[in-house]
Amino acid sequence: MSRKLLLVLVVLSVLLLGISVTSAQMEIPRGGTVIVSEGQQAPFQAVFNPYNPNPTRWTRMSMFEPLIVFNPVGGEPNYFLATSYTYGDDLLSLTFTLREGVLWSDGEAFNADDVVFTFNLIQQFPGLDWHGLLAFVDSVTKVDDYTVTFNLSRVYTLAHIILGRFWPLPEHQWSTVADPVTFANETPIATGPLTNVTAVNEQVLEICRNANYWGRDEAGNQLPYIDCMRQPVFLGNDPANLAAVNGEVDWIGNFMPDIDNTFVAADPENHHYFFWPGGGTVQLYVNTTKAPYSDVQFRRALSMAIDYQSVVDIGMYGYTIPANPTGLGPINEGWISQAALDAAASMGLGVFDSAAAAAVLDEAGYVDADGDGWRDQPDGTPIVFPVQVVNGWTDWVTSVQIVVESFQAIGLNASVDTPEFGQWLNNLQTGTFDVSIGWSASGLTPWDFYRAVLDSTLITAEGVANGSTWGRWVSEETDGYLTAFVATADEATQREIMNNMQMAYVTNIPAIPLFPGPTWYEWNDSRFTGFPTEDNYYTQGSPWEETFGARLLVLLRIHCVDDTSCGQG
Amino acid sequence: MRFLARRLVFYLVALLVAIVLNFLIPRLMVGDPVQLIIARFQGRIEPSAVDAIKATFGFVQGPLHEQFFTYLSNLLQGNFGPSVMNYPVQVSQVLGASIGWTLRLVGTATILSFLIGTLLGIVAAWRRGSFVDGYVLPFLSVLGAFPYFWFALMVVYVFAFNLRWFPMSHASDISLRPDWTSWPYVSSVIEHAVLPLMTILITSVGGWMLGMRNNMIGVLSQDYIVMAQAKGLAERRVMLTYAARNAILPALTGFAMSLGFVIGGALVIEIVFSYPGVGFTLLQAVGARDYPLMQAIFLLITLAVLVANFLADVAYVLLDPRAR
Repeated sequence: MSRKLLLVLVVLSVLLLGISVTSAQMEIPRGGTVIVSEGQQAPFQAVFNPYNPNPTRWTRMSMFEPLIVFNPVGGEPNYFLATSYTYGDDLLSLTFTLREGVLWSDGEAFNADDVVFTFNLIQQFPGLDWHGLLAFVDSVTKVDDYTVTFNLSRVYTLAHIILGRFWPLPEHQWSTVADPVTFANETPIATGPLTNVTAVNEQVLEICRNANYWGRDEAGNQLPYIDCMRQPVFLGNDPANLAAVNGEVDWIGNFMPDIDNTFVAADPENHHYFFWPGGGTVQLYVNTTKAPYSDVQFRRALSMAIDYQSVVDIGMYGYTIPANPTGLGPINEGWISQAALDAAASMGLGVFDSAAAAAVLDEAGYVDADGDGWRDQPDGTPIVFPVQVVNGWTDWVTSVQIVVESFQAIGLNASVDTPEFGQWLNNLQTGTFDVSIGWSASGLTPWDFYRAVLDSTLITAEGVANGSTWGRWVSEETDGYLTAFVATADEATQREIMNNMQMAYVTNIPAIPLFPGPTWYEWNDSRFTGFPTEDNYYTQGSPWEETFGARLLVLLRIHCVDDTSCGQG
Repeated sequence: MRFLARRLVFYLVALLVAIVLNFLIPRLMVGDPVQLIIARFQGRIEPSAVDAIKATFGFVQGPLHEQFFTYLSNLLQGNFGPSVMNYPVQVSQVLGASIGWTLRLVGTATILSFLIGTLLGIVAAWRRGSFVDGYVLPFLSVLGAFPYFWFALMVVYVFAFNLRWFPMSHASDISLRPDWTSWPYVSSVIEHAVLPLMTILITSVGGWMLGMRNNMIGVLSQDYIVMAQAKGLAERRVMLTYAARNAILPALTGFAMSLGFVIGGALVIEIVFSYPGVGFTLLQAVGARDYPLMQAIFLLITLAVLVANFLADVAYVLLDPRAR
């Protein structure tokens, strides 16, 4: 045997071995019911209308699929019912190519007619406009069976993200529905991986796979690998956590205090968690229409007085990180402007330094005029402010207690006030507060965050602040950045606008960022695997995530691990 | 009969007042349902969706007098309208899912607790200083004074989580399809009811026992008891038909009240055991300012309390000749 032949044989056998190894890896086990928990969960009702304000869990982004899922981690598009999108040259139209060969769960074919029908339905019944499409879409045109063009009423370069989240409805079912707004859709027809509802009652929701699902893995196997998803009702966080610790659930989105010593310690090999701080930044909102909170020096002193590390370590159990002064969290990492960070550093923002904070107040004239031990306004009016926080939200309440101690340490008469949720929300929206903790929004670009906090058009004529505009910040400069950002598709221009926006945010301090919101996510590897892990965080893992659609990406990857887990009913 | 007729008129007036208050009180709370629906998403929805939600929920935002007339006409038709937080599901359907569990669990627990507590109270008073009087009574009273939430959590932790004698949560095995004709399902319902039932029983029996014992002691000092004993009646007969029959009268009103409140559910038990019921539904409805759902539950509680009180009045008439 020549050496050449031997070499060829060796190479061939290695290749063959390699192939057999990879094909063994491709043999992904199928079946099984994955058990899900999201913490406290109200009893289920059968409302499988994705355009209902509060449909049954798993209706959106698993039963009904969007055109495109933009991954919250990294921002890459994952094409579902569309396979591509292009803006027209004037940015006034957006064309989607739709996926061919998709069947509705009842076997009918999906095509452009369904998309056109759904948008026209939303136009006819504005109660369905859950995405806010009518604010920028005029009409939709069918180009051919698998191409649709949305005609925009104004240039809006985030249109592809919002329209990407649009859920087409089956025309053959919905065209006979008299009032789609009040339609509960108890027997849904959809295109997603889970469409077959096998239980929905006061104790459990169970949805099983769509036999007609179009999705295939690289080896050509039909997705999803799992048979069913079952979500038990837990009426409180404690029973939900106890079930998780007990190993009864596989895919979890609960807040768990002291998680290392409870959940993880119960089964260190299989119980894991990763709290990606990709949620909206939690901030301290100040009512910028009232003195002394209208004074930027006062707000600057507040920002310098807070012990951020203790807030994060004690209030938030170390589950997140301190925010940076631009307010942008890890979800917008690539957008953060170094110039803005430098400016913030030179102002001392976001760094705990009581002495420096006190000095700022002294210099601005906030001294103790009446000798009661607390600082007063320069005109002598006492400063007394309760910091509001929702009753019962223990992590936030502890955080606010630490913030209030920080304020008291620099001579400010602050206290903690814990109204009930509805009352608290009303206080913030109507401006009957001085200082309060609150959430904000987060999106694929920083626009969503700044829009939620700063867009003065979200404040109604009656003075009700929508979104997170509770601080009542009204500025032509920041409003201008928000409009300019969505009027251009040029990334360099968009970056420049957002750099300016960040600079405006740190120099004006319209709100004081505390920490990016952690996203609760735990998983149990003993029966199912393929979940996002800390090392391979391919998307946000929380099972409740249905804004971006990350949940769909997870659903299509997880699979059972052995005969028991694959065969369980 | 005049007594009962007078009571009936009184209850009708009480019902009318309750219907009006039932409409007004929820609406005095600050906050409106539409904003709360949006807020529950904590910034995860597009702010323009507010228009869509307002278009859907116009019916909870109309002028107060219009809402009141809708409410009245709904009531007359026995229809509470759609629930806000479960829109468009009807209130009757939302309640239908939980009310059965509540009536079975809390109803059984209340009746058992009253029966056991009263019997123990009779025994404790009759045999003063005995084991039942000296040890069981103080022990049950102490248990009854425990923080309810903590006690229920401990019960779950010890008997379900550590010892695994009973399931931790739910009212039945959730992998079984609800079917009251199948034994595996029914037995799982019974198995799941044991811990919550025992928790309610243990924490509530002490109150009934103490009340009955004290009533009995008052009655036992009456002349007619001495008279009955002097006539040589059997101990049991004196204890039950002479003493207990009179001592139970005040307890009956309390029992009627608690029977009426059964329909309100047992919130803490429901949360700790994830046991479906009206209590949690009401908590949620209040949090979401779901006026139609709240009204329905409050009205049912009012009705149940009134009916139970009327039945107690009837029982009074039967037990106590002086009321006739």
